[in-house]
Amino acid sequence: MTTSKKTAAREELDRIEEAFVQAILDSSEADLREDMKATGSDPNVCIEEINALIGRVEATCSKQRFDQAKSELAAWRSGEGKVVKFDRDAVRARFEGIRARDPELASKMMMAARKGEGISDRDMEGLLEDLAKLERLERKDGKE
Amino acid sequence: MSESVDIGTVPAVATEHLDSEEVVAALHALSASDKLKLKAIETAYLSGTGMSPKELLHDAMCRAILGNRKCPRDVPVMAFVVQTMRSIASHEREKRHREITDGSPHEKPDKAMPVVFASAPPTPESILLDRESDIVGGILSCFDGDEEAQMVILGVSGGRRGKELREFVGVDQAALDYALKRIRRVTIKRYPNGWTP
Repeated sequence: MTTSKKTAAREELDRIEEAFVQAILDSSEADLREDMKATGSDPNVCIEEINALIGRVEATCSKQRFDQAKSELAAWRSGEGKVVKFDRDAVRARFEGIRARDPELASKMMMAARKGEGISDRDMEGLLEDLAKLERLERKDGKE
Repeated sequence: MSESVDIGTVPAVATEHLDSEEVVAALHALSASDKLKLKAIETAYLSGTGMSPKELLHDAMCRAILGNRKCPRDVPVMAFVVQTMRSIASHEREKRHREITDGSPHEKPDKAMPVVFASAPPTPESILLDRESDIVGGILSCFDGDEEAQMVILGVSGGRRGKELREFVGVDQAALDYALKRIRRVTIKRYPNGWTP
């Protein structure tokens, strides 16, 4: 017998419990108040306690949402949002390899560059950073 | 002449589930009767979970608001919270059941000792089974001499519902409702904190 399997007695108790729950759902407010008084509880106090509970639930949920947003922000800062150092020479070598294999790429880059003078050092820097970022994302996808 | 568009009247895209603000609004709109029902149902589901009073209801409401469990638009929030409490309680009981049955170390028999078949030591699982059976017996014994109530308990615990249950007990729906109410009241007195094996 597996431990997760319900015993016959537990199933019987569950069925009795479900019948009780259904009986509660079908009860009138007067009956529920009477039931509560019979167990020594005050129904009005119970209603106030549930009202207070709803307030606490709201506060708990707001805090959880805030904590989640904070941790997502922290994760973003430590990941994509942060400037990550990369091996510039290695990325440049890979870029030159791509350019050599694609003859059209060089002319397209020339056309896209300002004044037809080829891409500036700043453009090249940005391009290498983008390429390094793309490789990081590909590695991340590969791990997932 | 261009037509002005009042963006305030553009209907929002209806989703299949309530968002958190709608759930919160629905909880605040619960009637006094609904609140008493939630309390009574929480008490019923609390037994055997190890959770403290209001913890189960608190967790169920939180899950509905945070969307861990999404409330379908066509399901009343009251019914959704009840189902969520049921689900949490079932999960907690299952967890405790596993802790009881798996938690105790099973001792290996000593090879030097002769094997005795007459009375095997009780296992945590058999103890739990006995306790659960005792509770069903205990509920029945509360109604010694009240054959109708005992028939209702046997019918319900055997999985009978509706017409099948009425025919099994031999009463109409009103008498069945009254019997169930009587049984519930007596059981609450006998097990004020629910039945915990």
